[in-house]
Amino acid sequence: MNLNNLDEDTFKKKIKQGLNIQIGCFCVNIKTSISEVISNIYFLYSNHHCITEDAFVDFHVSINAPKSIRRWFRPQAYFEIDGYQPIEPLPLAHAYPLFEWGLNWCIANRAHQYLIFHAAIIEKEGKAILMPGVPGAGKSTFCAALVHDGWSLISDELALVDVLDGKVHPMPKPISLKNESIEVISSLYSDAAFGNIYHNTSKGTLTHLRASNASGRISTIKWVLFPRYDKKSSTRLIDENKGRAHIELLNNAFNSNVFGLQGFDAINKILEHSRVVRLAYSDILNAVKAVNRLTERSKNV
Amino acid sequence: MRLKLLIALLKEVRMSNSLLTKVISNPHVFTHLSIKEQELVMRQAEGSDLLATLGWLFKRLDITENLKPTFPHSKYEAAINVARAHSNFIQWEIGTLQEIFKNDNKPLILLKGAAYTIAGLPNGLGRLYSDIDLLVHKAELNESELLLKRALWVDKSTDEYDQMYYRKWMHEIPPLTHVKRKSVLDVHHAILPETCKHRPEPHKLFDEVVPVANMENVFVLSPTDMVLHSMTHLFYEGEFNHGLRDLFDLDMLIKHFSAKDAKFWPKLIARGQELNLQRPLYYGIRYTKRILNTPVPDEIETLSMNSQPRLIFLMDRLFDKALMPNHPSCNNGLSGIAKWLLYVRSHYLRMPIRLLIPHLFRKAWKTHFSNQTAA
Repeated sequence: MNLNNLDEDTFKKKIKQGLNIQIGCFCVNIKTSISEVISNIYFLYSNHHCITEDAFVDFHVSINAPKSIRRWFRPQAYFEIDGYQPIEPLPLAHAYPLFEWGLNWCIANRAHQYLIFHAAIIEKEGKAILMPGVPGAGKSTFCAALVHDGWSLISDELALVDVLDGKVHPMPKPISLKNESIEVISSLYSDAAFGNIYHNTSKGTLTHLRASNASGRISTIKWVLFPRYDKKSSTRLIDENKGRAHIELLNNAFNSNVFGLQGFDAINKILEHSRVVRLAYSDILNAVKAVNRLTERSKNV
Repeated sequence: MRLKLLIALLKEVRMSNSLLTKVISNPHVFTHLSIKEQELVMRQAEGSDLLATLGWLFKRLDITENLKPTFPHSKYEAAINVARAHSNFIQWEIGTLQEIFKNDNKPLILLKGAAYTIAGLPNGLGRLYSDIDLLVHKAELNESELLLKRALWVDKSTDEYDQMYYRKWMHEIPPLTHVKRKSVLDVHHAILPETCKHRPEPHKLFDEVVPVANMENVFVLSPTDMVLHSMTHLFYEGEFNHGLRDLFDLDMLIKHFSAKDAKFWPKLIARGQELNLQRPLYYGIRYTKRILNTPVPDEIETLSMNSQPRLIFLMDRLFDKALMPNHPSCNNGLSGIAKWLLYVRSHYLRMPIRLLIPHLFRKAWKTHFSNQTAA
């Protein structure tokens, strides 16, 4: 059942007790009593499925405000996975970003069945573009633009690769956008569905975008794209040396130490079967067109 | 209020909450559990650093094949991947230590987790490591530390009190950290502190060390000493963050050694007396049997009872709580207090009162202030 089939009151009641939501290949039990967090989840995850109570849950998470004196004095929110607090509490006003970061922590630190890259990843017809992220390169922004142009979101943050077959598994969460990129996306796409805006977080101003197409499926990586925003540059796509790409991907993987040689070979296999391109751009719509042309052209390769 | 707390503390812990202990003492039970119960077992195992161990257990006993088709095998596979990486890394790191000690004609004696892995013992599979423990002769301690320092293993603690505490009273020097790899080494010269009255003479341990097959110059404690050390560590050191895992170590070691050597049990009892470790031996036998159903011959159990403390009723209440899985489902709010009482007890066992009181005050003071600066 889709989450938006529940009316908001029922949803509120359920999530206070703990509600199972399917996020790609994970079933997450979310429990919270903070109303702002509840309404933001209701909005941002409305296309996700709720799962019955008797399903096997991957992560039991909660986000709550302590019932101590801190309820009145500089109120805080804390994130827990099964009673354990992996990250520091934040001011109550930043409870929702804490929830999203906490969920990322769970996957990046527990889902070692996958080789995990810090990358945005989208797909069309089971063929995926992997966009490894150097901070500030604008991978989330570009990912948001492509999702608005018909690509399905697999993840804007973590690419989960099965080392045995090299396929990437979905975990579509709302796309997190920061600072200038919020304005960029909202001016380009009037239908962009933004959640609440948070100011003065550790990453500046932050908001989340509901992916209109959050149904990314298990896919094969066909293109590895290194996007770089450069305000002086025209749209340029340049093929990249695969050896250099290998080093970058290896540095980009959170848990390459877990897989060792197996991980190294998995990266080799990904690169063998994909086209590796660097993209420099200043005009985002132009860049989207260029990427669409690139992927159309090599579709039958 | 205080009385209520005391009563609650003395109440029997509901072991039924710990599905995990039932499963590790009889793994085939797992296939008969509902999916939600199986999920709870995996959660309790994850919190207790036992998920990979559980995965290996399932694989070894072919339990994985008898689960429902929807069972998420990836949960324990993920933990096994991490444990395998730990094991590979620790073996590589031990290789570097082997070179260092060989070049100086000193034996490399491994303790605890590193020993289990390198000796290929069943509890080495799926184990996670935070450090490597070594045993060196006290007379060669300074020399060994210098040797390690040249290989970039350095003592990073700058606190004068900590230095004094470790070097004057403890059975180990402050942890050494590798400058580049950040791995941690604990260098011991005994298995209990200088200040502990039950402390066995270290030379008795050195006399019985056994070489590791295919690892030149690498040694581990003899089977009886390894089990006694593991018991001493668990019941005297006062750290229960890995209480259940350490108890499961004991269970697996005991089963392994007693299957290989029919005389293992009588040897263990005799060695316990020789090393003055009858009390930890008693606890080890009592709680592996009580919590994990470890098979213990009746006559051995009777013999070990000679060292039963008078307050065993109280100890049961405390250890039952401290040895439960590290998970909210097994935590009735008093586990923390039980662990704290056991922590104080361990210090009392290891130090005379005249040293203990100032030491605990000092620690409490320091913890309080470091918390304040963090907040």
